Amino acid sequence: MRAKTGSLTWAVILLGVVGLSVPTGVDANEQAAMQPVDAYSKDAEMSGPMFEIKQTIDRITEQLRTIGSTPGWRDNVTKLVHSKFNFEVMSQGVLGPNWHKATPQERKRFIELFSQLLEETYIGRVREYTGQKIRFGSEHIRQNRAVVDTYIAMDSGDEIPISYRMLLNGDEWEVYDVVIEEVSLVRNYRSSYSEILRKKNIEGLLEEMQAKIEELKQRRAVEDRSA
Amino acid sequence: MDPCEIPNGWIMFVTGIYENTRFKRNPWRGITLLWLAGVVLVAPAVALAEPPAAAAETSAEYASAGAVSNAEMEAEALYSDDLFSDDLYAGAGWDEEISDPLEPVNRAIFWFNDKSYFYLLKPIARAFRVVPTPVRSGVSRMFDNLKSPLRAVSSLLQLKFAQSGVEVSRLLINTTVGLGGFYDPARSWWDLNKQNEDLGQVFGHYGVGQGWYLVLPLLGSSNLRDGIALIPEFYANPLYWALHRDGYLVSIGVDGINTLSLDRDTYESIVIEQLDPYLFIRDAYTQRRAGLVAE
Repeated sequence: MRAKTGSLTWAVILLGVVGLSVPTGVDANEQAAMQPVDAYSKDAEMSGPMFEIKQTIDRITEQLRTIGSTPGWRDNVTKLVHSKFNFEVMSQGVLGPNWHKATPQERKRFIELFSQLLEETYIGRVREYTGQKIRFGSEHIRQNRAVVDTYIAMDSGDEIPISYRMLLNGDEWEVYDVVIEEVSLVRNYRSSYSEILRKKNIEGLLEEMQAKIEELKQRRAVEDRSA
Repeated sequence: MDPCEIPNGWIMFVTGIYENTRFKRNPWRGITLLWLAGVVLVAPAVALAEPPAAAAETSAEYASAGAVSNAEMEAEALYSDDLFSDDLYAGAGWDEEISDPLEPVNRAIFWFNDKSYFYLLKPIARAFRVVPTPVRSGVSRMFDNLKSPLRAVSSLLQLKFAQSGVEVSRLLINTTVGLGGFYDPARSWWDLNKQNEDLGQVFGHYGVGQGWYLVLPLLGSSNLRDGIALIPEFYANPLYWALHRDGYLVSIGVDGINTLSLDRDTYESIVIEQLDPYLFIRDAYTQRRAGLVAE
């Protein structure tokens, strides 16, 4: 009986020791490997993809903090999003192989509608922002492309990872995809839309998008009136 | 000492568990066995019926987006990895078709889940909101703490020893200092973060594909692989052994509704914003699971 308790105690202690000693080593390694870059610190460059996306995010969150006092906040946010997101490249990604089947007019219309649709949903999402901390992780640059990792701290304490995939256009970095918790936004839309395009032609998809935008706008108007 | 003594003891121990769980007279036994049998019969069919990769040829066509020259692309391909691959949007899983032969059935269950969500689960969850958020998050963490052993074992089975150690430590710290998991001192004081691992990911780690996409009643998105993983996961929770089946099922319900009460209408916004919520959720789930296995 005594021997049993003894071995059990040992097992627990052993597990605890193994468990506690291993992660501390890993932590140190991880910290060294993913040294967070603070865009505002002295040695960080005042340019580059992370600096640029941080600037845009800061401006958007500032707009959101002043909702109510500035009537034009929505236009301002839309403008900010438009300046940083490359909807043309995103649209190509969303249509994928279907991009080549579309006529130039259809492409133009798709870009227009898709950016509107994203704006409507983005603004709906961004409204829920109530000052959660945004942490900037690492930035990886390779030639004309970059990935910037950010983390949003939720009220529960969990952090949601959001990565911005960016492309160097001229001398400005522009977002061409957003990856939230391993889910790529563009791929998500591409998957849905290509399935819809299997049953409908592109004209049908454009009509459906148009209807959805109208619906979202109406809903927004109602929300604004009640707010 | 009789050498037979110990094996006998073990046999009695195992059969004791068998008796105690009342697995014998359990109606779920039949269902579970049927499911397993179905899976064994169906799995080879899935493996044979994998659609040929027709999308691969088209994926490179539109890569010209963003003025990436061919030379650059080739240069990049030499050291491409998950973050940057030669196609702007290429990467793990891009243009891989989601296998969903049960789509009509799935959509029917999706419809059922949608109605249950809006007319049953969400109203109950709203009623839960009478309880202050910190309490509900604490309860949520307590339920989650009990899934630590599963995460530890899942990490171990993937030979992720450090992660497994983190989960064991989290369980020990949070169960004691964290008052049964209500608080998470392991994270706030020791920076030991939860390791998102489960048995579905273990299967994935060893090369098992996701298989058919499934929508389970009330549980939502799943697939053949993760769905099978749910069976052992069901028994891996200490609550199952403490409360037995019925009590455990109730606790799963409470946990689910409590989690829902903490959620900020995620499902509602998807339904409002997307042209086809079913397709959107199907892809998001598949991408997320693939991402979790890859990491």
